[in-house]
Amino acid sequence: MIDDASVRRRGERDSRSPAAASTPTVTFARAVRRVLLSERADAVGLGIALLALCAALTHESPYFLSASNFSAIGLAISISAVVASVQTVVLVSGGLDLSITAVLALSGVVAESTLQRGAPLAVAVLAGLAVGVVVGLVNSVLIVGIGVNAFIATIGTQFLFRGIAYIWTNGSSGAYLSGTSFNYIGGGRLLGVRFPIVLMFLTLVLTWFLMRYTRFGSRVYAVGGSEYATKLAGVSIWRLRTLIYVLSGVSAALGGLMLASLNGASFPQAGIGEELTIIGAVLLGGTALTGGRGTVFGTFLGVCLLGVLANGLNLLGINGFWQTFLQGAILVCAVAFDEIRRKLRAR
Amino acid sequence: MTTPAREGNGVVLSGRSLRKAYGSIVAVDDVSIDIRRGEILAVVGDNGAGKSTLIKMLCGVTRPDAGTLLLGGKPISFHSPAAARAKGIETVFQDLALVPNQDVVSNLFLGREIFRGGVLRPLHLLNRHEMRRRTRDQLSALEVSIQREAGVPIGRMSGGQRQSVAIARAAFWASEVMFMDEPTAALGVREASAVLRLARRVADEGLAVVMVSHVMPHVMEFADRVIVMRHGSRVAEVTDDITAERLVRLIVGAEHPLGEKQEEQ
Amino acid sequence: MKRVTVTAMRKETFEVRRAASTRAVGVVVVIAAFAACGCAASAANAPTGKTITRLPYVGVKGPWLAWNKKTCRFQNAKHHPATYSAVLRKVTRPTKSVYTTFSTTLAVAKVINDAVNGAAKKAGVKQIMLSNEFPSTTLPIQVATQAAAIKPNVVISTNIQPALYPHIQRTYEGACVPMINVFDLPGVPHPAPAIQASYTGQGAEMAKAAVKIINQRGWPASDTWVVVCGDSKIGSTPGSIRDVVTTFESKVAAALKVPSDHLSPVLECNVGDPQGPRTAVTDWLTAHPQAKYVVGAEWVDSTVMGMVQALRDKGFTSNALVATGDATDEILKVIANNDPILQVDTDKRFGLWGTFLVSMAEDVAAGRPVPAYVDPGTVAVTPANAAKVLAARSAGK
Repeated sequence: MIDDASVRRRGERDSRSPAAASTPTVTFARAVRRVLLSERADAVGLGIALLALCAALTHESPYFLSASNFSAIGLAISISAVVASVQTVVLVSGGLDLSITAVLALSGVVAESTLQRGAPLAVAVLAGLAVGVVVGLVNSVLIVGIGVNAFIATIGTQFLFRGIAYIWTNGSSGAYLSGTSFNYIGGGRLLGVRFPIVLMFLTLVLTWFLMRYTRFGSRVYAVGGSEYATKLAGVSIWRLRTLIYVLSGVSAALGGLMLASLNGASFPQAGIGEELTIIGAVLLGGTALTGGRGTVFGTFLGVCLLGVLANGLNLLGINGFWQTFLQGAILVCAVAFDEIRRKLRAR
Repeated sequence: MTTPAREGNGVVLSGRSLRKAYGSIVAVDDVSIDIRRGEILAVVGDNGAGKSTLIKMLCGVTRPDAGTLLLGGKPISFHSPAAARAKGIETVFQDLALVPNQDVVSNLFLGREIFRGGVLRPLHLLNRHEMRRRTRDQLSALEVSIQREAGVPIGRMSGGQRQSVAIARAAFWASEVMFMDEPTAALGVREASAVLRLARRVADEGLAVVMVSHVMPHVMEFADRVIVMRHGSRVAEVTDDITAERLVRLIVGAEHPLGEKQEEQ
Repeated sequence: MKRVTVTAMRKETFEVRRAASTRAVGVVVVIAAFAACGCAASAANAPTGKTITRLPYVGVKGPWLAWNKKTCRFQNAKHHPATYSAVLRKVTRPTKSVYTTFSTTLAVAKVINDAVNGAAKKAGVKQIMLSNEFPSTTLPIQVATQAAAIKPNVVISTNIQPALYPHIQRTYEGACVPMINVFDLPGVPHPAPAIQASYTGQGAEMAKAAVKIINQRGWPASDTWVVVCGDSKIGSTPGSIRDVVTTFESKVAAALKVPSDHLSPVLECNVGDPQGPRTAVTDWLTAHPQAKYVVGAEWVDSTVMGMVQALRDKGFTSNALVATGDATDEILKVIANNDPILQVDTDKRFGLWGTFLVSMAEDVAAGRPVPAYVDPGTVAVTPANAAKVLAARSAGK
């Protein structure tokens, strides 16, 4: 058994030796290393990347830096941000929920058909959100109750609930509900700000607050770090995980309501394949797929980075293939950087 | 045994004729044990002697097949470690059961968080300030010097520091007994003795401390009383000075405990 | 053996807007050529049954194919009529057909299935429907084996997975049953008559209808811009559905004399739901603030509202026009309500495909030559006729 503390002390002595400290290169290297290893490096790195991208786009396109363009970016990322913020909670807890995009479609379908049967808006919204609760409960029964792997369980429920959306609608989109109060969710403005953007910030702040200041958040980090230790500490894992999957379902259902309202109609095929883009943004924000680590703020930066990138490439008229490629490149760099950093820190 | 045994009374937890079998293998057979306040009791024995099973029955991890537990003289049974914990009995598991990505404060209060009071109480908002203060108090009371690392995740601390955190946590919540399973198995010499000095302080504060250990020098230096287990039975109990060689002979069965003081029963 | 003349086609109850006048000229030339050589070779099995419905094709491409019972394959017909149109007749001798649909659950498949089964019933064809149930990759093979075992006179095949066609066609050839390749799927190893509404034709129809409305609105060409949406996952090459919007763009540009730097590339719109086109078109509009008049096109109804909303959000009303394809009821209702931006849709009229498919099946079963490719055409729907089309649909046409 080697004493870790003594090893670290020896390492520090080495780097402080006069010969090493005298050259500015080494001083700089040490400063870089310190920044790289700090806890906040994820957010700092991502923030710098985002600012650099914004600066480059401002230089390249006269149309980038404007209130209306930022409103367009906000609108474009609002739904993924809502879903991704809660997906951060799921991933930090060591879970995974691939059924989110099926919920996205089904909640819109259910809300719209409730509305078309003459129900008031509040009932339709609640019916849509109830879809999220139901899917969350089904996921928890499979994952927590029976012990099915979350990846497999939620692939299954993804197909299950997507299928229900298709059966419900017979494969076709809903009728266009223009001029109804439902349209406000996607099309309205609050103090001049598009309502989906308001909802996005509300969800982000609420999730951030939950994770940062409440018992729930603290236990989510704990269960992601060690489910065994958390359980031994007397926390009901069953209750905690069920709550997490229900929250995940509800956030996706809210996203579905926003989407259906924005589109003016529900689509059973809405959001197909988007779950990986959303989870990609969460990982880009520094959340570990293995659980225990990640922040809502990081996720917000990740979603923003991908949203600004897409917007910028559209403004510059760059072929859509590049968008896919660059999205992948950024994600690969981010996870590689993250891994290297963890290895350095572990040394 | 450098420290003299304490007063004979002050028994907080006892097991009477405990028995546990796994299939046809009898892990613990008709063992009785008294655990006293202010004392470090060591349970020693070879692999498979039944010492871990004995401790598990006492701390609520497993239930005995036969026999009774008495807490403060009254019969009691635990169906989970949580039930034992509710009665003031804490356990430091060999793997410590700490959350590696959380800091000392969060680990100390995991599952027993302190909330902000007033109207916001139903929201379960963490009172980090209060939790930090109590952690600081506990650490300084036990003279654990990891103040500087208070905000560092447990996973980045040394083995000794981690062990100290686990013991500080158990001592913080225990009001009766603290069990420690192989507390020094993964530690270097210096760290091990620091951890055992910490256990000594915990006992001096008035808790009963029970440790299962393989490491004879540690047992001999820090335990007030030693129970020797072999083949599921209690073969000896020693309270006075004993050479390491004799202790080992007792454990492996090369010497029978003739002339040793037996517990009255 | 001229059965139908070009003029007769124009008189049909369903007015089909011809994709290109050059094609009509071509047909006339073909008619003249065959009239001159006086072909009457297929007189032996000339149709005799009572005509139920007659519909024109907007496009017919050779060579003509006839089923050879000896080789159990289609071969080029030496003698054939000058023109071809869909003529559904009462059959005069027992005819058995198998219709292998691609799905019994998808909404669009249901429309075609009802039409095909209805037409067969009217014509007196004994027809059995089996389902490939897309996206199954095993059922189409089983269905082909089953269909071959029935020994029909003809198979109307709507398998939509190209990779399975070699096996399917071999199965039918083994049983010596002719097959019609509905939707003109690639991957069919040996010639088989194909039927599909062409993408370029659809794009041209969209463009023609859009140009007509824009001319009425009187937009200046110098301030007019064209933006088109696509999805490289679905169509990325010529011949794919991308042709709808590229043809639209070039036809509109030519007709309105829009400068070439006013034409957008095919934007990557992720046509899963309207979110994709909404974002892509919003960004394009942001980057082109000088676009005062905008004409846009997409190939799917399910996402076109995204493009419309992007224009609306930027303050466009009747200085923008959007065209789309699919003609779903939902979008036709929007057009019928005279939305100032969404003005054009294109209808493949799947409700009429019963006549198209069963009439060709009758011809093939009777051994008459048919063209290798026919195009039933698309019909543009604008506020002028949207209500009429919807009414006809709900009346069960």
